[in-house]
Parts: sequence; structure tokens; C-alpha cells
Amino acid sequence: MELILLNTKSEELILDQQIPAEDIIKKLKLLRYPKTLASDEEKKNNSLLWPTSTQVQAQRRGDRWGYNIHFFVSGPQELTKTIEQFQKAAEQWKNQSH
Amino acid sequence: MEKPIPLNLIQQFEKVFIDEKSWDSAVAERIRTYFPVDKIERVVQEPFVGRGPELSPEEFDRSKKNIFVTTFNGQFFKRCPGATQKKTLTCCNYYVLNLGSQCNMNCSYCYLQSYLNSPVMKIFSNIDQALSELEEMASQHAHLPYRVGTGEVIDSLSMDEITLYSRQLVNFFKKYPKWSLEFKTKSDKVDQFLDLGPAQNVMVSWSINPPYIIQSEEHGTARFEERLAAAEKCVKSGFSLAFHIDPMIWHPEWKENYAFLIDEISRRFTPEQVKVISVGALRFQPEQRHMMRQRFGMKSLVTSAEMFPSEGGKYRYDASLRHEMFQFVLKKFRDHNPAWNLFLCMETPETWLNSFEQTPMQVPGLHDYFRPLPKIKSENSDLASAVKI
Repeated sequence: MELILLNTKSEELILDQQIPAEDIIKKLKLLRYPKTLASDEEKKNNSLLWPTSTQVQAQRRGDRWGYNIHFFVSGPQELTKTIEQFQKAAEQWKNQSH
Repeated sequence: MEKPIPLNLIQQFEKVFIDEKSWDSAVAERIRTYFPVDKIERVVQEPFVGRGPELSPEEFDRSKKNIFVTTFNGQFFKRCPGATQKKTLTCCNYYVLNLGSQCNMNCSYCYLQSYLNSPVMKIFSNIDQALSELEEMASQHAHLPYRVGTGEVIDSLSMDEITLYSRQLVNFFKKYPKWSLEFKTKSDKVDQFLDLGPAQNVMVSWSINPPYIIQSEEHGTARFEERLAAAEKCVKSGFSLAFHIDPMIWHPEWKENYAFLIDEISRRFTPEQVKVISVGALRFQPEQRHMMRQRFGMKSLVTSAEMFPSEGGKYRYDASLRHEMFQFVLKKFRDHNPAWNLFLCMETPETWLNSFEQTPMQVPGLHDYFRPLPKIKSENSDLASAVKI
């Protein structure tokens, strides 16, 4: 409804039934939140060097954008090494933000 | 001689309903003196009853044009609602004294749109009771820095030419110099109490935005220049000031426009005259969106804004955009003079740390605002907190 009230062109709002629901939601979000989502995309492209043992996913949670990180370690040395690598990633992130 | 109520203020209202219980009060007498007889009606209960639990946009609009003078039967003196959300917000020690509810101005983002459910603007006639509550607290804790504001659910001064409550409050607070009173307004109505100055513990504060935002979102309020001119009058008469750059509203030229605002404040006032400057970004309860859409359409910078649900439930701008906006304001003020006393209003601890790199208790000049104070009667009483306005 907000998109209609925002005078979004009707052809942009015509939804092709062949397109998966997930993509439709993505498209509508892009129309309603263009500036924020463009900025999220830009941040996503500034890839950081994460520790090799981690699974990292950039995501938006409400008003915050960030990384969801999973990692597994099997010993204290590996944990120390991973933390060091995280610190490097944090430095890299800080430098990108400035 | 008592100042008359200006005609342009009288003309804003369709009707004044005076509760039988308040008929002989000083404020009712003043209204009966200056309002035309056909605008006044004596009633035994709140008008426009029999509606649903929530106000429709039309009912909300009507409530701005009809006054109900009545008594308030609960506890006047309360903690600011922000303090009840300590888990998600970092809030200062602030107490509120509600001498009425609703506002005769019309800001698109106003939180009263989701907060009030009364179909009329209320003016409480029993200010004597409010002053007794204050007296009771002040006599016990006169040495502590309690801060009290009257602008939570009604503008502190936009209706003051009708009530003249500011005069009684200023006189009260002059007796308790450790306590401070804040009149928070978007009006320029200050002439009615200036002769009572100096009173450095009475802070007249303006919620302020750049002229472009005032024009587009703060309908019926005093213009930028009018607000600053009123602030200058207050300084001359010995009152202290505060500014609330809140809510900051994003728009393509936000940097230029907020820079202009900061330059003007810095050019016309000193950090000694302005006790605090608070900064906050646009936020609102989710249920308010529908009311705003219906009342202001989607051309408003508020309804069309890109807002996201935040911890605590309110809709806010993206956290990094808020951070950028706060950083911009803090830096710009500090470039003018590092002595400006700035803080963030109703923000999360994360935003505080990102913006100041410390919590408010650690910021010089803000310690007194955030240190815990003894609880007041209404905080200890479930019954009092259950009473709604």
C-alpha cells in the first residue's frame, strides 16, 4: 500500500507469478527501502578477511546491518589463532568504515 | 495587570468544555473572561464519549480544536517514560509534570498520535495539587538535582497564554535552586513569564529543526527564527536554555540544513547559556504509521522514510545512518566549541558507545543527569502508575 501511495509505477508493482515469492519480497523491499538496501549491498561488497574456519553471512536484522558468524574450533591454539584473525578482520572493518 | 489571551489563540479552538468541578478555578475564570460565550460549555463529563478505544484520524484532529478543562485525579509528578525502558534505552533522570494533554500544533511525527486516546485536549485546573506534590518531594530532597519537565504530553508553553501556569511554576522553582524546571516548546510564547527572571534553574528549551523541516513537518509551530528570537529573550531575562535537535529527519540536503542550524545556535548563544543540547533521530511506534499516513499522506519525509523495527519495538532509521547523523552533529558543535554539552535522547547503549565511546555517566557534564536519585511516590505505587491521562 505504501508503494502505491508513494506513486510507484504500476508496471513495477505487477508481480509475475512465475517469480518465486522470495524474489518478489526482495523486489518490493528494494522499492520501499532503496537507499538502505543499496548501502547494505555496498557494505556486503567490502569483503573482509575472515578466519578460514568461519561461516559468515551478511544480514539485516531490523534497524541493524551486520554479520552472522559461525565457527568451530577443536583446541585452544586454534581458538587463539581464530581470535587473532578476527582481530585483523575487525581492524580491516574499522578502516573501511573511516 | 494580567495579560489577556490573544485572539489568534482563541480562534484556534472550536469549543472549550469546562467541567463543573473546575468551573470556579482560576484557569476556567480566565477562559470565561476572554473566550466568546458561545465557545464555552459547562459539562458534567468528558465530551465526545461513546467512541471506540482508539482515536480515528478525524477524532484526533478534532481533539486539537476542543479544550476540556477538568481536574486530574492521579499523581501529577512522574518519571519520564523513557526511564521505564532501561533495558533497551539509556535515559537521563527526568521527571514529568503533566498539566494537560494534547497539543495545539501539528507535527507529522508527533508521538501523541499513538499515545493519546482522549477525544479532547485537556487542561488540568488543579495545579495547586501538582504544586503540593512538588512541595512534598522538594521539602524532603531539596539538595538533590531533580529535573522536572512539563512538556511530555502537552507543549509546555504553546497554551500558556491561556493557563499562565508558567508563572506559578517559575515562582515555585525559584525557592528550590538545586531543582530545575524545563519548559519544552516549539512555540515562541515566553513573554508571559519573562518578568519573573532571573531564574537560572528554569530552563526554557526548544525542540528545533532546520527551517526546511519546520516548514514541511512541524505544522502550526513557531518558525525557526521565531524560536531563536524567543530564546534570546529568555537569556536576556536570566533564564537558561536547552535545545533538542530531535527528531533529526533525514532528507537529501540534511547535512547542509543541520549545519545551518548548528551554525546559527553557535553564533547566537554560548555553552554557558545553553545547559544541554540533546540529539535524537526520528522514531515512532509501529501502530502510529497508519495514523500518520492518513493524516499527512506519503509525501511527508516521515511517512516516506526508510524505517526499520528496532530493539524495543520502535521504528528507527538504520543504525549506521543514525550514527552518521549523530556524529555529524556532535562534530559540528565541537568544531565550534568543545564546551557544548551534548547528549543523545532515547537511544540504545550501543549508539551511545558508538557516538561518544563512553556511557553517559562517564561523560563530563552529564554525570548529574544520569546518576540514580531516590524514587518518588508514583514509582512506588502501582495504583499511581495505573492511572491514565
